Amino acid sequence: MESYETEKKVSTFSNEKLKKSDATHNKPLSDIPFDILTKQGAEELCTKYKDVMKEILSK
Amino acid sequence: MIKNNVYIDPEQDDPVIKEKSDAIEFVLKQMCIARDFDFANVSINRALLRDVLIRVDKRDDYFYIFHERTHINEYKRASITSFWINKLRPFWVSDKIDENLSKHINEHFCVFYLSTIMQKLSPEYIADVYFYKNFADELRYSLTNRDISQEALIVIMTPFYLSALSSIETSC
Repeated sequence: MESYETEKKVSTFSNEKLKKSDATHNKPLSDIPFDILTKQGAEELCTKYKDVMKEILSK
Repeated sequence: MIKNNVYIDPEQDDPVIKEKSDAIEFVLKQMCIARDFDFANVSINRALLRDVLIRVDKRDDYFYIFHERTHINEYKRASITSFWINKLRPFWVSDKIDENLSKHINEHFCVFYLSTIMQKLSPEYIADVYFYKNFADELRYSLTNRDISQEALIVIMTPFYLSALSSIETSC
């Protein structure tokens, strides 16, 4: 059985073209950590769009 | 997860799992506030939530290893997290307290969770209330009744990612 490192290198080499095209769509948009973003977003949705959220979440 | 190029078994890294779990619980609380529902009536299966977080981290590691050491973008992370929450269903409410929420709390959370990222990165789509209401309804219906894979969920959210990316790149 191949080691984890060997398997990683082989797979990376064989998927080189694929990974390059996909990697361009992986760029994070914000420097703020993901969990902070979700918390801030949740608070904003509650304060700015409470009525809209209540309607959607009650269906 | 990978730290300094060393693979760390997430099972051995409880503080990270706890921090992420707390963040999800915070979003769930906000969702309950938005719906005027008492959060005290919601039960969380922490073992399942832990499974959700580990599966998301594994997918992140996959991208790191096979896609030029990149980490998944915010929309992908939210989509993958939502997929696993919808599949493993870690949240529970008694049907005696709220019949509708008892059936759909996990789908509702997924819609709300994805919306938190839209609010922070593509707020114009939430501000367009007609668009957002119809999009959220379609998303909720699809998560409840259709067979939505995690790849499908990623594709559904990709236009919002590209729109935000386009705004950033044109403003530079």
